[in-house]
Amino acid sequence: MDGAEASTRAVSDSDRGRRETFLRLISEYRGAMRRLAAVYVNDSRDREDLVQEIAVALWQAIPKFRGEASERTWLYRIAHNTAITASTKLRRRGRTESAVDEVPDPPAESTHGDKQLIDSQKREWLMRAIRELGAVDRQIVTLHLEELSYREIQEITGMTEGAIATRLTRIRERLAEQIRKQEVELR
Amino acid sequence: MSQEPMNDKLNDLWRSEAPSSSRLQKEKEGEDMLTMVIERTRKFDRRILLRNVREVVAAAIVTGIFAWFAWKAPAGLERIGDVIVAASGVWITFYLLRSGSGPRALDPGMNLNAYGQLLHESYDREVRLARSVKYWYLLPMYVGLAVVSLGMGLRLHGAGQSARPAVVSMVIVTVGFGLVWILNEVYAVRCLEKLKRELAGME
Repeated sequence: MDGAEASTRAVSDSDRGRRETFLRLISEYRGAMRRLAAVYVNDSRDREDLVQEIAVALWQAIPKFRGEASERTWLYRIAHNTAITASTKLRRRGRTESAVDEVPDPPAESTHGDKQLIDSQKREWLMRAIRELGAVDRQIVTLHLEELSYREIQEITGMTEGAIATRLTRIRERLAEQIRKQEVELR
Repeated sequence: MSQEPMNDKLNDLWRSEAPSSSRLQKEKEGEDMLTMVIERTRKFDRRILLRNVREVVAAAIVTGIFAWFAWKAPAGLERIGDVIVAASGVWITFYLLRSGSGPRALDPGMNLNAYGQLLHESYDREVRLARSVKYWYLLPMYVGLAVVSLGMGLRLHGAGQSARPAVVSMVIVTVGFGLVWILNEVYAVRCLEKLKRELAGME
């Protein structure tokens, strides 16, 4: 094998590796990306756009990943950092602002017993409550709900575990209170 | 209500989505996403390349034209002005290539705290660049064109002709450069400051 052939083969191997990594990460984390997008933007088209932005950032970052952090914490860093920048642009585009009230109405009498619908509505309340938090609180609670450990959240945010714990207590109380209020209103 | 059950409730709500797609569907979605990502990355790279080529070509044209004018200039002062404008074209290209004419891409793999700080710094840098346009972009060319107009005016006056063409060309240049200055100093800076405020508001 001459030098040029070896070089072409190395490039094509690294390209294949990049594709495989991308497909695996998307398959594993697409649900998490969608949930993350929902706490940054409200409009469903904006959410899809945001997931795509994150996917693009991920694709560009794969060749630079050196394994200093775990793959999971690295991916969440990319996702949140991209979401911060992209959601500012999406907000400027206006769609998100105009769709602030795009929250499902309370279920009608006839569907009151439909558990799935009620769950979906409660989920939307939770998303809205998280969207109303500041960016740092939003990032921390999202990571916590994705079941990352305090240590992982520390790696992602750069905050101390103590600061994360204190913030989480306050955020959980606030979210729980808001969900309770909404439930009372629904009854 | 104790903390733990409420915590469980939040976790349940967080994950209460429609059932996830089948393995085959997931694979198809992943492939579609990959196709889209590759296409968007290619388009983006092409756009950046075209922008850089456009800037260099525009500067080369300005430099070429004014170098030709300098060669053919009838008087010394006009020649000096033309040389200044031609040199400005080279200087602007160098400045743009050195400092980058668009926002610098940040590494999204860094921690959120560090990224946030760098994002702020990057907006500050863009604001500084837009505010300094008058010095590194407009001023050298404006000075060159002013010297050309002055030279033309003196030459026409010396030949007993009206210096009006020189005055008119200077007025047109001043208005044009003024508009570019306003676009950068007022409009672009205002947009960037708004972005910065929005970013700060999210924190």
